[in-house]
Amino acid sequence: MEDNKEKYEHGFKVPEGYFDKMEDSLFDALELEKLPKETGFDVPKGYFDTLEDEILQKIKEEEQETKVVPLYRRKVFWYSASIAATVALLATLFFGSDGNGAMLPPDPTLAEIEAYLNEDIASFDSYELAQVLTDEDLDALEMENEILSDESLEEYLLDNIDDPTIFIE
Amino acid sequence: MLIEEQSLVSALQSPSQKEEAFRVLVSQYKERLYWHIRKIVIDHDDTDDVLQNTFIKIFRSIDNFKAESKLYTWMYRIATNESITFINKKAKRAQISSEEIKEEMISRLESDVYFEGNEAQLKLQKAIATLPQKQQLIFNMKYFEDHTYEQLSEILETSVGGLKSSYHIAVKKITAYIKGSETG
Repeated sequence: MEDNKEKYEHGFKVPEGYFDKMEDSLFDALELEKLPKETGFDVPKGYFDTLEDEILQKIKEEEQETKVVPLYRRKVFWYSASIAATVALLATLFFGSDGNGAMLPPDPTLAEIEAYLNEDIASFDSYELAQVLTDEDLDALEMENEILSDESLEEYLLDNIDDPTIFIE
Repeated sequence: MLIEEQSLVSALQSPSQKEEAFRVLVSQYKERLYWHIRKIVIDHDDTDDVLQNTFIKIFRSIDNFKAESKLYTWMYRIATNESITFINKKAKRAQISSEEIKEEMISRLESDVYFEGNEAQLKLQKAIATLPQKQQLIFNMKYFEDHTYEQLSEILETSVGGLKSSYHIAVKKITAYIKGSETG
């Protein structure tokens, strides 16, 4: 008998834990049989027919745009930088100065602010501004300029542009 | 990689044949990737945007594609990432979670001209929307599409064992949801 047992071993094997999980997969299959096999989503008629052309067209358009994008982005950065710096300066003048900003009425209207900016801000030279600003303010301004160095710009762009190569391993 | 796939990749990486090979690639994969993306982002126009962006990314990064991975799984991975990024951005704009935005989109399905599902299909979509994002992906890709666990494992970078148990949990939750909605 002992000898015969070896004769009938078939040599097949199953993955580890196969029989333990068998009920699960069987249960899943039975339950899923009752569910619809299609999603029910539909597409507009002829949608897939023109897709190749549309995508290639878009790639060509984007390639043309890319040529001007760096310059454009750079300009936007400098504009926003100038605006940010001006806003920081004005904020300091309005709220941070010791009475020097009192030329404006206590509760100014938009028109008054505009008039103030047009008439008064232009008359400040950098020396006068430096007198109004505290050391901290100047540090903050320097920080702003640092953020806009070429290196930082490049870093920012690299970090923020969708880079397809991240998907490649 | 299959020989056929290999020659397609070399054509895609050669400047003179790139455009022509890319047309072949798009026509081979457009429908499969469309339906994959559609199940994640739900709306047709959103799917169209994500699909086009996916192919543009594929076109731009094909030169860096390494022969060790399969073109098929690589493309699915890009499509999946693009879809999830899209959903997350959409949720952020609406200032809600990505799960909430999905449920909101599902609730609009009934009036969607490009949804022709019956009541059971709508209920199934509602049930799927209650799952965490990863389980949704696994369920959709296993139940509606013909991926093997090995392919899924490469696309989603998860072990086969992990995928199987996630799928089982997803099935349980979905059937429980449907039973609950029938009795309740």
